[in-house]
Amino acid sequence: MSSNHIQRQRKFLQLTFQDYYIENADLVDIPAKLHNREFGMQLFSLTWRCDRKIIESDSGEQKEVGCGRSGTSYARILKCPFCDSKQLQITDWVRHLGFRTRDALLHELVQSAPHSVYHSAALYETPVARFMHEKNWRGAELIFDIDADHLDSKCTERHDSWICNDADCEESGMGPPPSDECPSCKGKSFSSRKWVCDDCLQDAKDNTLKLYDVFLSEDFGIDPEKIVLNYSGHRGYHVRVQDSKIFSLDSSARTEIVHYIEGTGFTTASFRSTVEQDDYKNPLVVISEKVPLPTSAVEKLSVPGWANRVSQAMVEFISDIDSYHGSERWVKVLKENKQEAIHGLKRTPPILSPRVKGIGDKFWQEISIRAVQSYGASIDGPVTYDLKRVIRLIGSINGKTGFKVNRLNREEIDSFNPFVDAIAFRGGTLKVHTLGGLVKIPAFKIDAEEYGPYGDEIVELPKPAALFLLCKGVANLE
Amino acid sequence: MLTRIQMLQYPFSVEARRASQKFARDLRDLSKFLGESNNRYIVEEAGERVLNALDRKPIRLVNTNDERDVLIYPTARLIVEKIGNVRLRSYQAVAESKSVRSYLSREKYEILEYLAESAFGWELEWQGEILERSHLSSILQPFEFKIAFQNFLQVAPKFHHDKWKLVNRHVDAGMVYIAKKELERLISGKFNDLILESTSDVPTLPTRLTEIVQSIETELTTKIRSTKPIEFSDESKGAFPPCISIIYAESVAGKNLSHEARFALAAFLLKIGMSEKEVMGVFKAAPDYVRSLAEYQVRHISSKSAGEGYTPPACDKMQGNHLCPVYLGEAWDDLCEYVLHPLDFYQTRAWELSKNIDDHSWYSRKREKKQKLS
Ligand code: SF4
Ligand SMILES: [Zn+2]
Ligand SMILES: [Zn+2]
Ligand SMILES: [Zn+2]
Repeated sequence: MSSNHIQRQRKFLQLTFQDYYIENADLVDIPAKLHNREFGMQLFSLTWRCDRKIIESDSGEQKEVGCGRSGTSYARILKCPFCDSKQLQITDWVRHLGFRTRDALLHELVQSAPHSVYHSAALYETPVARFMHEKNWRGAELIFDIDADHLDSKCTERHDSWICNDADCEESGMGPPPSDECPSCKGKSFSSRKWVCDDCLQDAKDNTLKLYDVFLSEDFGIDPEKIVLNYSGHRGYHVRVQDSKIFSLDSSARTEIVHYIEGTGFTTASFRSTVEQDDYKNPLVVISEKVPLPTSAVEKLSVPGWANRVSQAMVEFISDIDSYHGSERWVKVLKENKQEAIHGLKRTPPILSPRVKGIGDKFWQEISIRAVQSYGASIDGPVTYDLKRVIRLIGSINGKTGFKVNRLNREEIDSFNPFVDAIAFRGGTLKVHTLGGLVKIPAFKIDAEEYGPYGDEIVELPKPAALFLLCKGVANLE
Repeated sequence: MLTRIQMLQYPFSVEARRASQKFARDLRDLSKFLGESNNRYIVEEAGERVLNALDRKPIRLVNTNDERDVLIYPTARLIVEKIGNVRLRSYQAVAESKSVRSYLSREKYEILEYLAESAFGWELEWQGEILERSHLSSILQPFEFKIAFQNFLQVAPKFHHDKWKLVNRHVDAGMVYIAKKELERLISGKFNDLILESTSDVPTLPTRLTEIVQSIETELTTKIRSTKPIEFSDESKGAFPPCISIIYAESVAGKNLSHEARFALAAFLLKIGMSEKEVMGVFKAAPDYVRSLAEYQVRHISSKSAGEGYTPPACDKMQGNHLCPVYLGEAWDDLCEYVLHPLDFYQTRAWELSKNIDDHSWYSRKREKKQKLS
C-alpha cells in the first residue's frame, strides 16, 4: 500500500472515531478521582522528534546529526523532512497525560480521536510527571484482565493463523505459531493473526463470571456496587474493584489474590501430618482416604472458600481427564477408573474412593492440586499485580476492532454479545480490499449477519463489518 | 485500655505513641529533650537497647516507674536512623518484633484484638471461646479469629510457608480464619515492617547521643562483616535476569531441572560467551548427570545452525513454560518491564553495571514498556 494510501486510511479511521466522540460523549466513563489518573493514548498519527546527537561514522569520524525539530505524520517516516537525519524518535503514543475535568478529557478525545485510550488503575499525586518516582503513587484499584489470549480456547485452532516471516518461505498454518521454529525453513520469526469468535468470547465470559461471582463476591466479599465490569472491545473483559480498602495493597498482596483466584500454590496436608501436629491448627485441606473432603453439604465438614470446592474441582478435572496432557503416574489409572473416582467424589460427604486401586493419598493430593489449578479462573496475572498498569477507558473505542468498550453490569453480561452490542458505527457501506493472502480471513458475524471468509478480494460491506476488518488490519480502504 | 507495662511492651500502640508525644511532638523535639542532662538515663538505656539488638539478645523492658520510660524506644529508633545502616535497622526490627511477639503470646484475645484494631486499623472478629465455636464446622473450630483479607495480606506474603498463602486459607466474605498464634505473628510482623519502612529526617543530636551513635557505629563495623554473596559475585552473573539466576542457582545446587529449564540455561550461557566446557560444569551437580549425554546436549545446542547456536527462549516463551519468576510473581526487577528477551535484560544490566548505574529511572524515559494492552 502506498504511503498516501496509509495516510488516507489512518485519517479516515480517525475521523470516524472522532464522530463517535462528538456524538457519544455521554457514553464515556469518567474514572473516579479523574485528576489523579495518568492517561495514555495511542494515536493514528505518529509523532517524531529529530534528536541532535553525535554519531560515529564508519570511518571513525564523529559528526553531529539532527536538527532538534519535531512534528507529526500519518505516513511512515524514515528521515527528517528538514535535515534528512535518519536518527528519529518515532512513536504513536502519548503518555503522562492528565485531565482535571470531564470536559477537558472529552475535549481531548474529540481533538485527537485516538486509536486507543487508557488510564492508570493507580491514583497519583502528580499523574503528569514524566517519571514514576515523581508521580507519587497513592494507591490503585484492583484490576483484572480476562482475555482469550490466555485461555487456549479450542477455537484458536480454527481461526488464528500465522505465516513465516522469511521472505522466501511460504509456510503458514492455523492456530498459534510454532513454539520453536518454522517447519520448513527453520526460521524463528512469525507474524500471527488472532481472531475472535463467539466461542473464545464465551470462554472469557465464563472466566469473568467465575471471578466475579465465586471469588470476588463470595470469597472476598466485595460489595457488588464497587465492582465495575466492562467488555475490552476485543477478546475479553475487564474487572475493576473500586473499594478504597484495597487501594493500598502492594504488589505481593495482589499476587496472593491472583494466586488465590487461579488456584496457584494450593497445598494439601496429609492425614498423618495433622494427627501428629501438636498444634493442629492447620489451614491446609486434608486429602486422605481416611478423612472425607470438606463440603457444604454437611454442616460439620463445611468450610468456606476453596476447601469446599475441591471435590467439585476434582470431579470436573477427572471428567475431563482424557484431554489432560500431563505424564504423572496416576494419569493412566485415573483414566481407567474415572467413573469410580467421580462416584466417590459425588457422595455426601465426598470421599476418595479406595476402590481406585493404585492411587493413594499422595497421588490424590497431586490430583487435587491439578484440579484446583484448572478450576481457578484464568486471568492475566501481571495486569493485576503490577501497580502501574493502564487500562482501557470505558466508553472509548478499541482501535483493534472499532468496537465499543462497553460498561456492563452483572445482569447485562449474561446476554451481552459484542458482535451486536459493542458495534459503534452503523449505517452505510464501505468498499474494502480484503487481504486474505495465504490464509483466508475467517468468517465473522455482525448484527447476526455472517461475513466471509475472505481471500484477496474487493467487497462492499456494511460499515461495522468493513470497519472491523480495517481495524483488524486485514483489509484496506478501496 | 493498656496498662503502663503493656504500653512499654508495645511501642507501636496508640497509647505508647501518645505518651511519648506528650514529651516530644517530633524527632527535633525529642532530640532537644534528650539533650537535657536530667534525661540522660533515657539516652543510656536506648543505647543498650540498640546494642542488644545488634547482639541479637532479647530487648530488656525498662520500667523505672517514670513516665519518660516510654521514650526509650523512640530514642533507640533515632539512634538507628542516625546511623542509617540497613543491616542494623533490620536487626533492630527483628529484635523489637520478637520481643513483642513473646509478650503477645501471654496476652488474652482482647488485647490482641485491641492492639491490631487501634494501632493498625485492622478489622478482626473474635470467634468466641471454644464452646461458643462448637457450632462451627470442626475444621474451623481451631481458629480463634477472623481477619479482613486486605489486612492479612499486609504481612502474610512475607512469610514463606505454604499455610501463609491466601489460597490455602479458609476465606469467607472477605475474612480469613486465623489462629491466635497466627495473629501474634501478624502483629509482630507488621511492627517489623513499620520499622523497616519508616523514613524520617534525622535532626542534629545532642552530644551524649552522638557519642553513643559513634560507639555503636564502631561496634557495627566489627560485628557486621560484609558477607559477600558467593554464588553470583562475578560480574556477568550479577547481570543475569531473575529467570536465569534462579535456574542457574538451582542447577548449581544440584536440583533436577526440567528439560525446558535446562535448554534455556544452556542456550543463554552459550550465547553470552561461556564455553561449552564451562556450561557443562554448571550441569555437573544434576542428579541425573551423565557426562556424555550432557556434552552431547550442550554441543548440540551450541552447534546448531552453523555456529550461530540456538537462541535462548524469549520472555513470552519463558512465561509459558513457568520459568519466568516475574510472571509468576515470585521475583521482581524493573528492567523486566521493558525487555522481551532475557538476553536483552542481560546486555542492558551488564552495561549498567559497567557504568555503575543503579538508578533505574531511565528505563521509563528511554524504553518502551512491553506490557500487552488488550
Ligand atoms: S521477564 Fe524475561 S528476562 Fe525477566 S525474568 Fe521473565 S523471562 Fe526473564
Ligand atoms: Zn532534522
Ligand atoms: Zn519458514
Ligand atoms: Zn474463538
